[in-house]
Amino acid sequence: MFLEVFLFVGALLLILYLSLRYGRYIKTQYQGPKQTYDLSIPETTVITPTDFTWTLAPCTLRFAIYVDASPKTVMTVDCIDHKAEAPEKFAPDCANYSYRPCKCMGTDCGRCALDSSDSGHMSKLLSIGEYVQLWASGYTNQNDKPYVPALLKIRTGLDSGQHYMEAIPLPTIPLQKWTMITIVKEGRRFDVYYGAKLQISKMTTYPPLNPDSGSQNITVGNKKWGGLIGMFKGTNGASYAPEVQADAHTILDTRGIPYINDPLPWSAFVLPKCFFGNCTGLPDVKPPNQFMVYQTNYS
Amino acid sequence: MLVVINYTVTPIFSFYPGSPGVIPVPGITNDLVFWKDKTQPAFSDPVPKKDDKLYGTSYIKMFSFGIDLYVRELATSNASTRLILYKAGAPIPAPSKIDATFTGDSFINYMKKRSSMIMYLTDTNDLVITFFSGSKQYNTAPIKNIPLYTPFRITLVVEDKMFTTYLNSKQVFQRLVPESIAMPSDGTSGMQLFYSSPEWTNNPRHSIYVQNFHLWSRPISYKEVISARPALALDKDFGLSPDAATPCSSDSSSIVAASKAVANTVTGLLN
Repeated sequence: MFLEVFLFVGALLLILYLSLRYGRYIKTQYQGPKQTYDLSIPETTVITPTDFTWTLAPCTLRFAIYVDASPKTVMTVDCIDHKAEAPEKFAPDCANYSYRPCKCMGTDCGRCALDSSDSGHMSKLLSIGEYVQLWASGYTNQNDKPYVPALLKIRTGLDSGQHYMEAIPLPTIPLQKWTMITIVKEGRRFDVYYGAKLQISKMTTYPPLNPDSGSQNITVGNKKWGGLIGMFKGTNGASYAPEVQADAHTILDTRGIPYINDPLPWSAFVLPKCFFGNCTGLPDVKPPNQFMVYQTNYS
Repeated sequence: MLVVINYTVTPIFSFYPGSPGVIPVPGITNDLVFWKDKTQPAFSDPVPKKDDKLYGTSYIKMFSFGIDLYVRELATSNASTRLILYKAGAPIPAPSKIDATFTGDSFINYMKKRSSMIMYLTDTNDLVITFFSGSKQYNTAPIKNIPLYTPFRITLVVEDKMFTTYLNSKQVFQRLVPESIAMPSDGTSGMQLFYSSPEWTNNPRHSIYVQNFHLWSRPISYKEVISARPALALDKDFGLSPDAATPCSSDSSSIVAASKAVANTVTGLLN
């Protein structure tokens, strides 16, 4: 009898422990093999069609990003005069830095590509083939903001023979701060939320296109950037503000930081970069936000 | 006594939904639902049919209809000929040439001389209803960004000089025109029937599907708009796989083949 009671209480305690230990795992819903990925590794596949497929039907994609380091951005960017009816280059108008649909050569959108080389001021951070891409510019100081901080690049189509590249402008992705981004697509309308707050709701000129079968993986990463990206979750159906708010409440703590489960609890004990001494001779100081100038007590 | 009061003092009996009166009288209807068998109607399928009770009514300035729509990938169809429904005296044959020079304006001009009303999508997913009345042309404002891969219902109420459109029972447009809506002066003639989209539209692959075409021979009240039955069709009711990841080419081809067969039969019967 005593043994049975002992086993029962033990099982009860074990269940309680597991619930408390892994409760966060249940709470933090995400798709894909990992919860977070290194932002500096390019072309990392995070979602495959088995988890979620971005289609023409209403859909929602949520993820969180933490930018630790990024390239410094020049103030001016290449712009074009948008007097032409359909610009044949994907660049903002010099007048107001707004984008108009870039007309592809039929279905060949090569001329509407953004410069992804080191000289380009924007970097691709996330993509679903050529159909949906998140581009972001680097950071500057408070007096030298980039004109186009971030954008969603969407491939749209008039018909089967004429495609376009269109842009949904986005505000700056905060530096060194977790940001949950939710992209909602319903027909031609894109709603983008940062956290629970709607940042932009914009319609493209033409309906977005269905990614072809070879372009359905969601990939992330850019070698010029550092940080983490993760908490991916895609749903078929358009989410509205209350749902996004509820989702944010589920995955973020009160400081806006996702409940990230550290798979290796001992990783906190990882040795510092220069364990045996100060390798660079410079202090490792990070600004508390993206607009603050780097400051240090060392001259 | 109630009958006397109904006709002399105040309406007691409600003969159809939305009409004044507190006691509904079932059985008196002047509406019909077509295209409800979970398949797509034949190309240019005319309704109402000869044996229907609504046949012979003039659908010019006093009528209403509701239709359930399901729109898939638009990029697979010609942007200039995304016709959903039209009202005319006879099926409209294909234009002699549909090529790059056949624009949206060409399409409107072509339909203007052959129909009295068209419902179509612009070169994007905006829905427009156009009336050809006398020598004039009256449009609804585009219903912007209609749902894709999601069933929705469009209801139109035409009442003399006014027409109102509803999306999923919510009013999205109303317009009062200077004169009563009339037959077009240089276009179609004869008894006006409603036709589903012809074969030459929505090519090369159909992207717009219809179901539950609900027709009234009178303007209906808002109460009737929201209480119209059957309920909005589900995506599976359109006879297509709703799976957006699969192009359903086999489904579409079989439907087109079936529609062609029915169309040939109808054409034979009409002849």
